[in-house]
Amino acid sequence: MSVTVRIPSALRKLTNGQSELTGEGLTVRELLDDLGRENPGLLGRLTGDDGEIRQFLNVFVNGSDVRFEDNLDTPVQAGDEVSIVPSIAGGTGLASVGAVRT
Amino acid sequence: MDEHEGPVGELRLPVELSGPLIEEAGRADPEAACGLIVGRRRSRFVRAIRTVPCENCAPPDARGTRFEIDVRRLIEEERAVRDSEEEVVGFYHSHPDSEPIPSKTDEAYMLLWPDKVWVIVGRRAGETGRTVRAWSLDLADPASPKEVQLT
Repeated sequence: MSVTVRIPSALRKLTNGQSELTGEGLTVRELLDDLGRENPGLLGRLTGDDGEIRQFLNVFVNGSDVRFEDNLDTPVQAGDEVSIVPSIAGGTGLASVGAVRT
Repeated sequence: MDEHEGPVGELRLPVELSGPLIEEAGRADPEAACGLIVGRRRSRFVRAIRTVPCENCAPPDARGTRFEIDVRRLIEEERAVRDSEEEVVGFYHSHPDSEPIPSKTDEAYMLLWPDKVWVIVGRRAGETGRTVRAWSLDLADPASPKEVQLT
């Protein structure tokens, strides 16, 4: 049973241009690990050295931010829709620009 | 390449939309205003149909120089237009005290959204009135955002 994952355009170079992928797993982490088998590097772009989701990326399961659930251990099931959404921000103030780059 | 991907070349932004954006920037001053732009896209041409003002979610003491949009607003809006010909074609924000040119911070976030048009409301040097300009980032040349022709 598959779960659909929507990929933002900024990461599609890692998915051969595909905007949606389907994978399997009981948690977001397992799902992304599964997708990573055919799309090497995807999980590494989504997570930092601490293994958590990068600060400037957001993962939603059916519209709920996994940071308010169990992060990458958030459970998923068949029919769920997982969205990877970059942050929308900017302005004239300085930010840690290097950290934004995915 | 998907026709919806890649940099935007031209944005049709009627005065019925750009006027309220300038007014919104004035009301938000000294903080930055921000929101979504919904429209239609065909290849490099985008037509704005409506704007969706959003709360600036940056920390309160930084809202004069920073903006942040709750991405749940984007997800809600994308769901609302999913079965239509409309889509979220871009974002807008204001620079309360500077020109409507992408800052280094803007450029960093534009890298995360290379298929969107970024509309900025700002002030030209030496002028008190606000003006609107639009930008898009080409991942083939990410060092310099390209100005989008406004029509």
